Amino acid sequence: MNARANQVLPIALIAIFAVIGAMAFPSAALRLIAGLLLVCYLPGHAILRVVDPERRGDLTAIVFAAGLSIAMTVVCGLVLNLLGPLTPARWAMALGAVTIVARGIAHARNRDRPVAPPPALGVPALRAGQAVMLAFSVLLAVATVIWTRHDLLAHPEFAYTELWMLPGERGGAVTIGIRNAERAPSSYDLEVTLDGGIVTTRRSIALAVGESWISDFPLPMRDDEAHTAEARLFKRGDDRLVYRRAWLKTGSREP
Amino acid sequence: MAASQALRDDLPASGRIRTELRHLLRLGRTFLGVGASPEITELASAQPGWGWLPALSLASALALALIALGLSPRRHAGPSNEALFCAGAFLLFLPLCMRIAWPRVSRFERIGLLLVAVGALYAIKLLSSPLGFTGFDEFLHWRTAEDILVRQRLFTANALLPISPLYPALEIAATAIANVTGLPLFPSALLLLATSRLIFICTLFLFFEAVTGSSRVSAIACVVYMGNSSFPIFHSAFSYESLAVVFLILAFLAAVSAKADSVDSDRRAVILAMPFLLVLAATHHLTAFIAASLLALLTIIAFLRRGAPQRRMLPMILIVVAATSAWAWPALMGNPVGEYLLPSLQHGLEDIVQLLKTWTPVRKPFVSTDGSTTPLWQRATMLAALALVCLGLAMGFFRALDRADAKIVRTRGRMRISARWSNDWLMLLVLLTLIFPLTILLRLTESAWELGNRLGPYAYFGVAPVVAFAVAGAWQGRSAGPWRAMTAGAALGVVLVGGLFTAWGGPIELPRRYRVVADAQSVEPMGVDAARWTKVWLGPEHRFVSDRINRLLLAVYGRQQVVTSLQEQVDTSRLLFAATLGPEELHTLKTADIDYLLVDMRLTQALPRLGVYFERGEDLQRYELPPEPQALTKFNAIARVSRPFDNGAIIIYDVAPFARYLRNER
Repeated sequence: MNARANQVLPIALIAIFAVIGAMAFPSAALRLIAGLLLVCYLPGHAILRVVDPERRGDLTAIVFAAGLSIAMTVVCGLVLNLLGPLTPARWAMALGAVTIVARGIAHARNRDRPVAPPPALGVPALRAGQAVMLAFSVLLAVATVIWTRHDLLAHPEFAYTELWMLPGERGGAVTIGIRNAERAPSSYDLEVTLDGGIVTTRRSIALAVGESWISDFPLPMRDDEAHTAEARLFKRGDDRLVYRRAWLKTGSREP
Repeated sequence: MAASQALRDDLPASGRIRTELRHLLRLGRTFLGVGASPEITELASAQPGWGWLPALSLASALALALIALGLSPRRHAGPSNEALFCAGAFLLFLPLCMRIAWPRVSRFERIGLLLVAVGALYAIKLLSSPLGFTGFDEFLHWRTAEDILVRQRLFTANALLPISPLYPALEIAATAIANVTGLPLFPSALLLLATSRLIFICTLFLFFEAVTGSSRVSAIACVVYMGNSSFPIFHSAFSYESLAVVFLILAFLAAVSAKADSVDSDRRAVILAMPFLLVLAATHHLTAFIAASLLALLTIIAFLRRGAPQRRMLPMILIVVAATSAWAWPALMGNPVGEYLLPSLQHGLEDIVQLLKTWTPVRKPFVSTDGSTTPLWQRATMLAALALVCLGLAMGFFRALDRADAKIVRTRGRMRISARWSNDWLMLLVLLTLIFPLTILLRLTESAWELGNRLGPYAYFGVAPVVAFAVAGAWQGRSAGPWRAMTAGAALGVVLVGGLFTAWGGPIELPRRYRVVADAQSVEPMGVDAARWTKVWLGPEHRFVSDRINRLLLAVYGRQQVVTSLQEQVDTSRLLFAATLGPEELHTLKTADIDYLLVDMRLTQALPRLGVYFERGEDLQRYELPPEPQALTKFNAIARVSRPFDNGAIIIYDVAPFARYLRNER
């Protein structure tokens, strides 16, 4: 195997590995790495070898490779849209194919050029203390983002309860749902009326924070008649104040 | 000294005045850098090394934690949340800027520090909305991206922003990541934006370095660029400009990296720049037009320059590519740009004429439409940043021209700029600074402030290196001492933090609380849950009428079809706000094929912070007071209108049977 083939093969293998990875890796982390390589680096790296084979290894080459990759992803999207749906498998195969074809063209075009050794990236040596500081700063930044998410979810500005009422799957039935998004577990009383008369009540529906309660209520409603079914929700201990109201109106009553 | 004083005393009055004037003129010329010998901007570089980068990274991470505490929804004992946020911002950026401006720092370390700074700015945006996108423009593109993911097709109509699906590059790239990594859309988009930010700052550094010939000037210019108010939030948002500006600067870097003595290098530069310019045309209309305009200006500069005719071909070819693609893509998409941009431009021009006639700003700086005012110390920081940029421009303009070898010579008592220069790109960037005052002026108008905001980052392509010449040359001077470097760095820090405060888009009020129609400040879990409920229990794609914020939530979290006047020319505002259902409202219900109304009772608490409850262009005078609660709940009393959902603040009405009845009624 000659020196130029030695340069082509690794990129082709990485591309194939990334395509398979993006389509089939069970590990989310590996799939993430493979997918990001496919969208953000490999196609551009291969195309750059075709367009400007002398530009290698420095920061300019890296930004061009990344930029060309994203640009090529856009072009792939437009072309794939002409050919059919934009499915994950089609995406992975298209980006992999671009990488391998471009690498092949680069190999064919540059066959007669002398093979230059890849330039060094120019990254200075890192001392142990510096490495620890860098690692710690990355960890701290990631922890900060995770903590902020948690803090925001744990302290919502509004505390509320959702009540909903929809036609049930069976004729004449309604589905009523309650969701507790208050700051503490809550207990509710529910009253269901039909055309103004109480049909049924449920007492002491206890819900933890974030918990939902959903139930079907068969009601004596006829399709050819106008009805109003209403759900009234009370907070346990305060049955004079209607906390939430939802209703369904059916039939042919005049507006 | 005494002899000179005596000599002055002996001169007649007119002579003394002439001497003083000459003295003042000399001072002015020294200040502006006219005719001065070139200052040293690049002192001897240090050996490549990590330098202070690891320590400053750690300090930045700690400052970021302080900012996160400030952004927390809880109030802390001790300093206020605002104080924590602002202290964190200064502690984060001042040391970074000081080190970047320091004379003897290796190129490697400067690039690393820039990456830390841009990463920190991106993290601040992420910390302010870590659960999902909250910016208005972000929702518009989020819906387009969701459509691509769900339907696996491009170009699905988007009622929130009809032009968005026709420029789908950002959404294509984000959904590609989602498809191949298996991540949901939000983290995929975050990864794309983070990558774009890193590519952008590296490319900008390389571009400025190629143009100015100095890594120090380039790094300082990058910091000044980060201080433009679009950079910290708007260009980090999930919006098409964020990707477009990356393609633009990549195309420019490709063009500028062509070697002066090589035709082959020119050819490669054109081939390398072409894909970026072509894809830019499918990314964002305005940026594509600006790229074509800048390349046209570069071509003119190249033609005006004497000598080296072979160097004129490169910009000529690029302008042909940029202009053709910028024109061809919208033509292919059915020319949607004119009707989208022209009304804004027309109203903007009218506002500018009005401003020039009356010299009274239509839009009051630092005051929101609901009357809330930015605190004095925040205003002071923003104005200090602007003043420093203006000072830098004044001191850097002629110095930058000097670097471009533009000859400024005195001829018969008059100043003239010789039509000779050696650096076309630097000339282009210097000339770009001339639109900077226009962008400030536009921000004082009601209709064109957005245009001024959008043009700002492009003006900063010129402003940044010009100010950097002032900082590295005049501010630092020949001194290698620490105090001047620290002062220059601190000034850069103020520019950056001032830009961040301006980008915030209003008073920094922490902890963040819900505000009526304040875009990011109005997006909170209760509204999101209501929108999600519609998707789960009603199913997607119902036609909904709601206010500006709940429309966004319904379109993205609920995947509903929202009725907008932008898409359908139907004004639905009176349907929600009219005290009773009159003929106009009944007609809207009858003709607009509406299924549901989502009413947010919080709208009755205050006037909208952004001046509109529904869409830009609505009659602001109509709302002198918030709507009455009875107006919003008028559908309670209408037969055939059900009320399937109530969470205390948000109520959903099912009006489809009623609308059907109205349509069938004779």
